[in-house]
Amino acid sequence: MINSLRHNFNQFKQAVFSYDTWELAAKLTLLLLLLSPVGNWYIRPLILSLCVSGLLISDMYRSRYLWGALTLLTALRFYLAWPLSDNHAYLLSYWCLAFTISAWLKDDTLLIKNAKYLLAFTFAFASWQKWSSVEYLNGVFFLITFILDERFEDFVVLFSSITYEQIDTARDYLEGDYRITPAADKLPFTIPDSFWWLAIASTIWNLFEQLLIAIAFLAPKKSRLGQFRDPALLVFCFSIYAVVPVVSFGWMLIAMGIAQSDKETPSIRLWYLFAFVTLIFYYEVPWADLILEST
Amino acid sequence: MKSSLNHLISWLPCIIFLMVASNHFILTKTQNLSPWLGGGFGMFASTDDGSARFIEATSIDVEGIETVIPLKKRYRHLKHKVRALPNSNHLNALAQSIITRLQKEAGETALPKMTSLRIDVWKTQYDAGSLRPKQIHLTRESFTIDHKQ
Repeated sequence: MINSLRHNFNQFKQAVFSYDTWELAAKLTLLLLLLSPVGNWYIRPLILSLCVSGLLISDMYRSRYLWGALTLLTALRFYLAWPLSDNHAYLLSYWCLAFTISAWLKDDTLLIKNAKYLLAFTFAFASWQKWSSVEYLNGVFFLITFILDERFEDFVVLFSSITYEQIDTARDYLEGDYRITPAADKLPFTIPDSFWWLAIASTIWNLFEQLLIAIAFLAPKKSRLGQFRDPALLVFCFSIYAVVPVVSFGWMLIAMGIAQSDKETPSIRLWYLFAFVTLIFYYEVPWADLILEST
Repeated sequence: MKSSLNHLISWLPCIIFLMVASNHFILTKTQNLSPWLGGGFGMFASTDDGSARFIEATSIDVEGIETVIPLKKRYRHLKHKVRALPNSNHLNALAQSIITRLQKEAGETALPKMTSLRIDVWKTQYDAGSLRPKQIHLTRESFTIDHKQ
């Protein structure tokens, strides 16, 4: 039994190792568009149809027309919704454009180059925005977000001593309309120290991690920092998406990570694939809620 | 010539990234674009996302009496756009939509009394020590109602 499992795993590993990074990145991108569809009622079916074709028809994933159409549709999506689309909607469109150009000019290195710099710019801008935001640096951002954003509710109750009742009370206070009558001087309860520390730790960790990834991707690949780029991106994906449910963004970062990963170290590809699958579990399993219910 | 053009094209995704991000930076400084939106990757850096902003539309009649207009679900999309980026284009689109709706609802009788429409937008800021919220006025724009139409 164990030997059979080991044999199957080795076969899977060899299959992953023999994959071309372009092909793997392309198929994962098509897959993420199927797992997390984007666009409105007239864009979404077209994108889904193209992705199905790309995955089912032999060598279709290499087609410049497929990627050209996906670029146009994903760009149309954020153009029509301007400025309401999330940032990963823009990144998705740039990423599809990178596939289009690489397929059109028949040069795989162009995808590697664009993947590297799109990742570097994404993290550079994300960390710069944090660095230049006063309310991020003084901790207010995470204190407020942990209370107001329902997606973090279970996480903060699990990792601090704040209660659901306190969160509800705080929401009533923080979301009030104080345009005519000013708000009371402070929250109706004392924020637990553990909650403050969680916010401070999140503030420091996020800025440090994102800055490190940006620098690692901008640094030459052979440099000490440059060699750290894949592990840093993997740590980011494994840690942040356990808490932040923006899984399609994570999948896209993983596809880019695979595209630029070194062909000589195929084990990195395996780690990226493992991260891709792990994110599915993060997204579908309400782990914080399950732990809270069991305690 | 062809090779330098191909070289330029090969960088297009990164060039567009930087152009959109620069545009985001300019719009946050000049037109109060929410830092979360617009392709500048400012998510999870500021509490000033669209949902923490308030919009108020007020009609003013010939006697100067002001009436706050409830912005119902039919204005949802335009309202979200105004909250995210309260520039003249979005404010004007919302104002025209409100005026058209009011004209339909009021018919010929009541509307001539209404002379203008005003839209205000606020954002919410939190005190660093106490987290006390406060609304900061971002913009105000008035629209004259043309009764000839």
